[in-house]
Amino acid sequence: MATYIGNSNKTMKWEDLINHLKLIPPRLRGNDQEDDIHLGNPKVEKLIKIWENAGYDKNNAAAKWIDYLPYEHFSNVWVENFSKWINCEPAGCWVSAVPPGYIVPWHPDYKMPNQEKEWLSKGPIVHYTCYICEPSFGQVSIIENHAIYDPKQGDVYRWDDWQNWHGGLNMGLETKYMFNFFGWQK
Amino acid sequence: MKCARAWISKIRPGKYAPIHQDIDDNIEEYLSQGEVIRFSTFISHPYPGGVFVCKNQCFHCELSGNTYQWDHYLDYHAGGNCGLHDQFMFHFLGIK
Repeated sequence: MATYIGNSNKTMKWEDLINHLKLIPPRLRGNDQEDDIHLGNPKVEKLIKIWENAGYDKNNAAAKWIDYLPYEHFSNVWVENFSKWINCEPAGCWVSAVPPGYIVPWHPDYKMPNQEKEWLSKGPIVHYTCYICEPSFGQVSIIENHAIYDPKQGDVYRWDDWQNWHGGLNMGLETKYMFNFFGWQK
Repeated sequence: MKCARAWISKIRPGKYAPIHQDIDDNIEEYLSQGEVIRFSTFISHPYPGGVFVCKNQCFHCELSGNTYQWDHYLDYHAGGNCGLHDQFMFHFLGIK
């Protein structure tokens, strides 16, 4: 589940970030993509087995998404401003994009075990998602049993648990963009 | 309600049906017999990840047996599954 926090669009002009991201090459994730974060992570290896048992296979071209990272793809000022808005210290942020026809299979967001341990030693991790694009038909995000559909641009949700199982898909005609945030609540 | 057509759709994990209308080659014949009405029933267990979208409504984790009447039989819709279990739906096109 996730709780609606508010709309951030008056504080952050998310359209400007999307216009910037549309102009730069992204990092593709999912089947057939280099996975530099999860390589050798036992939790992810177990997850991939779960996907395979459910019927996802390496030939499923739809099981893909795109990530954009601060510093590498966009200015960290976006992270700083969002952190202020939700009153948090940031741990990690990224923008994910799901183009039409892409599916993000059911999963928790795992970090490498040593990083999870380090983060948790500083306190409980919070997970926020901001829907940064205008809503469009067919764009669905699911957190546990909670489907989020047709959110307004700038709507922010706080997850019940930072590692809630979730997934998403885009059956529409426009790319969906989300700003994802891990951090510590002040 | 007279049944014009009925079918079951199955969406496996990782699959989807993009936005579309259901076009029926025999629709003129159905319309000549009366008002055409569309229903959909969620028939599988409500596993997370299986979704159905019709116009601006998203249906997720619907209890098995939940049935909805569409505003119009030609409404744009889509269905997909980012979960771990198959999703089944029963669809009914009726003539009133």
